[in-house]
Amino acid sequence: MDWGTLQGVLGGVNKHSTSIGKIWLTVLFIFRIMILVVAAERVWGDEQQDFVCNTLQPGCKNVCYDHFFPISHIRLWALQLIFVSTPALLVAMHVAYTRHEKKRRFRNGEKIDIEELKNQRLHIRGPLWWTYTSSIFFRIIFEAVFMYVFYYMYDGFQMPRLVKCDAWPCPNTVDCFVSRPTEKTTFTIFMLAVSGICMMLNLAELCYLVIKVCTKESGKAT
Amino acid sequence: MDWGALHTILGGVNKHSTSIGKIWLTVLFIFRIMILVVAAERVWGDEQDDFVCNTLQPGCRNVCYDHFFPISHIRLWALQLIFVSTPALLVAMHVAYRRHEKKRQFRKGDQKCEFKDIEEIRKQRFRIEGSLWWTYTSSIFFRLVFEAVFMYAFYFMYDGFRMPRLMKCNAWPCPNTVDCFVSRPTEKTVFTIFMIAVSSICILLNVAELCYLLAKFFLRRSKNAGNSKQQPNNENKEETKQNEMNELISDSCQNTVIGFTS
Repeated sequence: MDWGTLQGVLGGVNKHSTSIGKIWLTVLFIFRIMILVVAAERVWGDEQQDFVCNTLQPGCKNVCYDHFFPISHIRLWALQLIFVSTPALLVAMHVAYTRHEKKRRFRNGEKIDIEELKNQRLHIRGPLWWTYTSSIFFRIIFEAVFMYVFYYMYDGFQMPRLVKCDAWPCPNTVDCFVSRPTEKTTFTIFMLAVSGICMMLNLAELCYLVIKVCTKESGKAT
Repeated sequence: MDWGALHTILGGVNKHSTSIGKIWLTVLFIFRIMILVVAAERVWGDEQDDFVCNTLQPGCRNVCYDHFFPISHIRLWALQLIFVSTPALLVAMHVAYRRHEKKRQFRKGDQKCEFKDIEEIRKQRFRIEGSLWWTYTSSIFFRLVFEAVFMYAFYFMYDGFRMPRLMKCNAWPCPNTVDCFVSRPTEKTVFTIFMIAVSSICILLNVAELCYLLAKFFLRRSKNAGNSKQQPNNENKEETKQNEMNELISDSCQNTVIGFTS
């Protein structure tokens, strides 16, 4: 079970998304998950091994590393991507439920074409509109929460070259040097920028859906 | 044989589950197995390499690591996930047995058999009734037992769910008492708490499913008691028609929901 399987799962949801939703999914897979897997994981791969402290005191390096990096960037991104992808499953469950209901009505004798039901792409109307809109809303919330957690945990988005550590058992204050700080800063800014783009796509999709409903209502009124 | 193969095996079981069972399976795969594979395994990857003890005594670090981590968290989670997934195979075996029986009936040319060909028997989705209900309910019961046992084993073995930064070790051959430092304790604590939280959610889903099945059973019994005078044959024909429709429609539903291959 890895990112490929997640892609398989979300690919099914793609059929019922709006165009903006499809663009969002592509950006997610190509510019975030793929970058994470092929590049970022190698950059952070040696983060603890090459975290060097200017001391011979055993245990000091471990403690300082743990103090400055409570949760690694890579893990935070992996969690962010999983949480941001999952609201789409709400939509998938709703679609499955709608189909199940139509199937039940068919069984009860109502005339519904079975072939049409199988291939049908449900329009985003009624209760499905609410489910879809809340899934986008949750996505935006998760993105924002993780971006804030990042900012709060690492005091900004820049990876420092040097951190000064005085946690026990380090003697007095010890200089510790981070591995590949510039490369890490570059990737952090990149991932942040793509998160920002995804958030804007989600906002655009939300506005589009709201406008669609409002124009439909005013269309009905006239 | 890896997590992907387990995913394929359990995907087949998904077809015969209730809605809550399908949600449980999704939570299992996305929030537990996937988190384990893409994140947790990296966090615990260097656990012994970066377990550092304040001593030059050879062998002391090995002995202390072994003393404090009899079974690594990652291995316990892998075992837990495998044990928790396996009761679903009971259901799969029961369904396979029923299909085998129907195929046998079909081949004998039994007049009572309603199916036109083997293909329909293969694709049929069975409803959770009768003996299948008992199999399904016991599989959920075993899942609950395994989840609880592993959570308790975790708590007992590691004295809670927090990973300490420092451990004081005095096992032989360490001289006197030695300070040993764990690698990435905060990150490990975060992931331990996350996995415990998702385990609890899974336990709640299983309890809900159990209650749902019991409620369905009692409702059906009271309905049957009321309708006991009606002809049973019509029910069978209706069920056949339902199954044919299920077979046509449920494939597309399944692909939409989770994309498991049947």
